[in-house]
Order: sequence, then structure tokens, then C-alpha cells
Amino acid sequence: MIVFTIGYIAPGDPVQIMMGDYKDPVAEANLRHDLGLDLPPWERYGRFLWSAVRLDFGESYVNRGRSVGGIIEDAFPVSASIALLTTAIAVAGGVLLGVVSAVHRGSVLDRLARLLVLLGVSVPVFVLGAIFIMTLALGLGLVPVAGWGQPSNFVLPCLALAARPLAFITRMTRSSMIQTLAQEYIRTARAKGLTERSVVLTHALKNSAINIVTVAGLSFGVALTGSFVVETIFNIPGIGRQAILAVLKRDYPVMQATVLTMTACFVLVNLIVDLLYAYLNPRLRY
Amino acid sequence: MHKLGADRGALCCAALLTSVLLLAGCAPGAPSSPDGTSTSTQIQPAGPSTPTSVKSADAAQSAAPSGTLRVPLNGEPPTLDPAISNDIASGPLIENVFSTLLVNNAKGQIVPNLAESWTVSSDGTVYTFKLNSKATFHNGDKLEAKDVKYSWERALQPATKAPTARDSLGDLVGAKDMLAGKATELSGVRVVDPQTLEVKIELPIRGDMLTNLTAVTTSVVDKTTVESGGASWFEKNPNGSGPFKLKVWQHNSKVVLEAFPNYFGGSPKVATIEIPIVTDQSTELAQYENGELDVARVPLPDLKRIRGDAKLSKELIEFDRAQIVYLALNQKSYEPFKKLEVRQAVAHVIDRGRFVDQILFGAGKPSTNSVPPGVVGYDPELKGMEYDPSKAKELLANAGFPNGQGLPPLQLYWNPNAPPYQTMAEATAASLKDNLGMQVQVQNSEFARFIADMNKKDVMPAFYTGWSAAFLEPNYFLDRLWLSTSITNRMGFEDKEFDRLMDEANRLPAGDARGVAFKKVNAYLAEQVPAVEIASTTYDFLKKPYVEGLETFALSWGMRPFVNVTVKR
Repeated sequence: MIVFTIGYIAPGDPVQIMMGDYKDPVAEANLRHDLGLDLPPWERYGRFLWSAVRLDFGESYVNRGRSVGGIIEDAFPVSASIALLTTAIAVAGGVLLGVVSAVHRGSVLDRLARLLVLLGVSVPVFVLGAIFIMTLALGLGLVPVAGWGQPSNFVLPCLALAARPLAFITRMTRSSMIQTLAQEYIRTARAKGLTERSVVLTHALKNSAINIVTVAGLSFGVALTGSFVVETIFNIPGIGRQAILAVLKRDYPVMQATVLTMTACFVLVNLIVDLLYAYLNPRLRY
Repeated sequence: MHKLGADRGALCCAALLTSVLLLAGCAPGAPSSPDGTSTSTQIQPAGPSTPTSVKSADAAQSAAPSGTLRVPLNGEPPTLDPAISNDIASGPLIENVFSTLLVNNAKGQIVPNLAESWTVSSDGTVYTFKLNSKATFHNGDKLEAKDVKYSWERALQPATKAPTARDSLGDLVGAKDMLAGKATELSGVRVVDPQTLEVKIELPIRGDMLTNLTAVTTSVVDKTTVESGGASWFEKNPNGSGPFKLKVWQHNSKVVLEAFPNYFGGSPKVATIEIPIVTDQSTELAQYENGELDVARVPLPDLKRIRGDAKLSKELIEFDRAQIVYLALNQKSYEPFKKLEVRQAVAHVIDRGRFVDQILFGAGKPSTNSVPPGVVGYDPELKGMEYDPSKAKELLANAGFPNGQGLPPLQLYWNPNAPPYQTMAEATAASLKDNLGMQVQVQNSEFARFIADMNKKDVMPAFYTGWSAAFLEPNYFLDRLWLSTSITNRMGFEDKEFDRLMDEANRLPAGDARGVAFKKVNAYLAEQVPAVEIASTTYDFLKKPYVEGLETFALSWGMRPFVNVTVKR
């Protein structure tokens, strides 16, 4: 509803953009009528809702003849797979780095980890993307610069996108672990003669799991919705870029459908995180 | 201890950054990745392919097409329907997949395509076209005169909502009736026999009928394919008659074309055209340098580096583009612009040479012409309002605004479609302030809003934008922008003298007299300054040395259809 209202109020007209500079008023009027743009706003919104409930999002204004459902079907799995891999990298890398950092607190490893965290948090995605292109693709020739269709296309975009969530997860893991490791029961476990590895992994890490899961879930959502920059730089046909392009061209059906899809995804991810909480912390189960 | 830690931390930081930068520095000497894309293997086109024996005398015909050309496209094509196409992404694809009666050659001259030859009646109202008898659609069906008539009628039907049908086909007898929905048949076009088409036009027309028939909108489509395919009939198998067939279309990702060996103009020499959709200019350049693309546009800020690079400078090709950049002075929303002296004063304080050097990085030619080079009426000697600040001050004082006193503040907009416009706007604002004492505010705008405001015609007092052509025809520039009755006249320029000069020029047939008349119109505009013309732009491409036969072109995306391209990689 908000998207629709903002789209309606904002200046800009998809038909004018499509018609370009060579305007034939009759064709313009016909197109406007065909797209239903001459109907009053409440009728347009009503029609959208009615069709959306049946999962029919209509046709794109700009790419005439293409169904919005089709566009999303093509683009969504692409972004989702990038977001999944990104989150996996961020979680795996972040937890590893965080644990190492906490356990060897004060050492060189710890300082290196904290440096990486600082960079990950402060360097923007597009700068990272450009650096990776220059070094890994052009410099070392390890991966292609951009494009989509092969496994090697995942490398650069996921690395660039994972930097920030990885940094957050590292920080979170580290402080959580430090807190946990200072607790009494850890001393007990060590006194009992358990191996250090068992102490750290089984006992300490598990208790930090909740925090990690929270951030991981959020990271997935952010990776999914923030993928626009990465998709533009690396030519990835994902939903982030689709959404922004739709806004630029005022392709209302696509705009609304993409926002709907991404919101639904976000909600779903949060639901999964909540369920995981219950599993991880028996005290939260009802 | 913490202090020590901080120092070591800083050291680590420095080490990391240095190593990153060193790696980055290695970039220019990059090893070109041997097989950038694994799909770039040689693909023999499906169909009646003759194997390698080349014994027949007609070598060009029987040598099977080979190789892959990788060329980027700047955006996802919204459609491949020639009647609806109105953008720079779908146009180039349609030019390769479909055919029109006539085309422009690399020099900008009109040459036969589907129409092998034609005659014109003495009064200029009847054109008789003889079609090439070898023309077929990609599925093998013969292409005949009735298919041409069908395609044009389809484009003119209101139900098709073709945006530019009126431009290219509106002068045919009966076209106006079709556009208005009063007729279902195009009365001015008659199928004489399967290879002959008689076309009647209504005189006088602005421009040239032959030029109009090079428009993508007039491409020939196959009735069966269109009618059985629904709204997206072009998605899988558009069945055109051009040199290439559509093989793959992965939306937002890439388009792949393959050679059509039975093309009436002779089989293309290259087997496959891979067209990834690349929206980011720096990525495009990086991909080219990494060996993933064979042709790439050069983003303006990189021009200097490329011109200075020993290897890349040899791969750089630059040529004129049929596009002009101008600063519109909207008389409807800024009163002082109604005075000629004020407009001339503004024109006199813009240093075009510097703009081209520093803002366009040399990718253009400073110009006071209202048409680009290559279009009739362009005069390289035209002076117009040259850079002369003292004259500008004088003119402004004469107009009654000495030192800018009395001039209301001016909002200066710029088309967000291209970064140079913003820089030009800011440079102009500074110049106007310094030289004329004008108060100028440079305004940001968003693309959709800019378009809407521009079409409202009385919102933006001054704006930087460009105008590019679909035809190399002066009317395309002059009529559209400045004729008092034009829908796209966005500057409130209503000048009877201009209209009269245009009418006069249009009455003349092609030839020297017409050229002179249009030069006169051009000179008049340079003096009246409804908009300050800044420059015409150039295309700057990088092309790999192993690509030969690429014909460049002032229109479309800068490249003619790839019929003669060979890739020796």
C-alpha cells in the first residue's frame, strides 16, 4: 500500500518514459488506457490487490508481454542463491574468526581479526567490488570480472557482499565468546579435565549461538535486499537490480511485486530465526 | 600495553593496505584469461551446414560461419517487436534479426536491403519497390510483398500502440486513416506481384520517404508467427529475415544470436553473437580488459588512460555520433529568455572547447550547429555565438540587465541520464555567475521526473540534455525541437521566420540546393539561440584486433549489423 501510494504520488510517468522523445499522442493515450493508468487510484489499487491475492501480478509496463510473475521467478532464485552463499560465508568466516579471536585474545591473530572487522564495516560494497575486480579478476585472472551462469561468477559478488555481515558476526561472536569464557561453569569444565577444544566448541560456542543466529538471519535479509549494488557491478540478473530499475522507469506492477516478494522473504527468514531460538534455548519453548 | 597494541595495529593496517594496493597495481599487466567464457566454443549453426570442403567457386557462400563475437548491450531490451521498439537496447537487436526495405550503409547513404531496386514516379508520389527474390524468413518461408504490407498495417493499427509508426509510415496514403482507426487496410500500398510493392505517399512530406523506410518500425514480420504467438511472440522464435536468428534470451543476463546461413544478403561470416547485458560502464571496460568481451564502450573518465596506454590506444576507435548536447533556454518559464540579447549573452559565456576537452574528455566536437556532423545542414565553419564574455556583458546591459541586475534567479537542471550534463551545468552556472552576475541554482533531478517535467514544458527554466537521431535527417532535429507546432518543442520557441525557412528548405528535392537551405536554417538558429548548442558527441569503442569487418555507424549503438564481421581468435 505504501509502495503504491508513493508510486502514485511521485512525479514521473511510465508511458512518457517508454514513449521517449518521439511522442505520438494517440499511441500514448492508447497505451495509457491499455495499462489502466487512466483509472482512478483506488480502482487501480483494488485491482492490484484482487489479482495479487491470486498471485497474479499482471504484466510489466516496460517489458510489454512479460508477466511480472515470470520476471520475479527468473530473478528471485538468483538473488536468493547469492544471499544464501553470502550468509554462509559470513557465518562460517565470522564464527571462525570470532572464536579464534576470543580464544587467543590479545595476540596477533586477534589484532588481525579486529582489523579485518574494521575494514569490513567501513568499506562500502562497491569499493570492495571494484578492488576485487582489479585484484582477483584482472590482476590474478582467477575469476571472471562479471556475468552469470557459472560457479565462478559467485565468487566476487558473494565475497564483496559478505564482508560487512562477516565483520558483524566476527565482532558478535568474539564478544559473546569472551563473555561466556569468563563464566564460572567454563572453569568447572576445565577443572573436570575436558579438552580445551571441547570446552570452547561444545560449551562456550553453543551458548553464543543465539546471538549468532540472530545476526545471521538479519544478514540474509540484508544480503537479499541490498544486492542491488553488487548485481549492477557484476551484471547479475537478480531481483535487487530489477526492483531499482522498475522504480526508475516507474514500472508499477514490477515495483509492487518485488517489494511484496522481498518483504515476504524477510518475514519468512525472521520466522525461521524465531523457531531456531526455540530449538537452541530450551527455556524459550512453550 | 594498549598503546603498544595500537601501534602494532596500525602497522598491520598499513601492511594490509599496502599489499592490497600492490596487487591492484599489478592489474594493467594482467594475463588475459585464455577462455573467458566456457561457452565461447565454436558453434556451427544448426541447419544445412556444409562441412569444411570449400570447393565451389562462391567461397563466401559455402564457407560455414565460425567464431563468436562478444558485444555488450547497455540494458535489457523491453521487447523485440519492431513495431513497438523505441529504445536503444532493442533497436540494435532488431536490426540484426529483422530486415527493412532499405538501410543506411556505413557512410550514411541509403542502400537497398529487402528492396533490391526501386523507381519513383515523376511527381514523386509513387514508389515502386522490387523485392529481393532470395529473401526468406528464418523458418524458410519466402518473404513476399504481402508480408511487407502486413507488417506496415500492423504497425499502423491503434491496437498495436506503436510509438513511432506515425513518424516513419505516417506519410503513406491511408496511413492517417489507419492510425485514427477509420480503416483496416493501408490503401496507399498495393501488392503488384509477390516481388513488387507499389507505395503511394502524400506530398508534401517533411524529410524523405526512403529515409523513413530504414526505420526499425518498418521491419518485416511474419504474419503466422505474430498471430499465433500472443503478446510475447518474439520471445522464443521471432522468425525475422535478418542475418541472425535469436538463439537464446536470458532476461537481464544475455542474448545470443546465431548466423542465418540463407540470409538473402549472403551468409554472415561469424557464427554466434553473444550479447551480455552490461549496465555498469566500468564493469564493461574491466571485462574487455580481462578478455571477456571483444568490443566495449569507453567510459569518459577512462579515455585519457586508454589514449595513453600503448596497447589499448591501438584498439581504440572513435567516430562521430549523431547526437548533440545542448542547453535549453525555456522561454515559457523564464521571462528574460524571451529577449534575444539575453539568450545570446548566455551563449557567449559558454566555453565549448573547454567543455569538450575537460568534461567530455575529448569525446566530441564543439559545435554551434543544431544538427550533428553527417546530417544535411551541418556546417563546420559555422561561428554562431562564440565564447566572448565581454560581448556577453554588453548584450546583457543592452537588454536592460547591466551586470545581471534585475535578473531573477535561474534554476538550471540537467538530465540525470549522463554524468557530463551535471558537470556542464555546474561549469555553466559558475560562468554565468562570474561573467554576467546571474544567480544560478543547479538543481538535481531524478530521471523519471526530469522526463515528466521536460514534457510539461513550463517547469524547467533551463536544462542540459542531449538529442540523438534515429535518422540522419535534418528534420529529425530541427522540426522536432524547434518547430512551433512540434510536440517535442520544449523551449517555448515560437518563431515564424524559423517555420518559414524550414518549409522552404523542405520543398527542395535532395541535392545541393537543399543542403544550402538547411545550412541557412542552421545558421539562423545559431543566431537566435533557442538553445545553446554545445557539442556533438563521438562514440569511443575499444575493439580487439582479432575482430575484423566491424562497420561503425553514427546511429543506433554505433555498429551496423554484423554480417561481415569475422573473429579470428
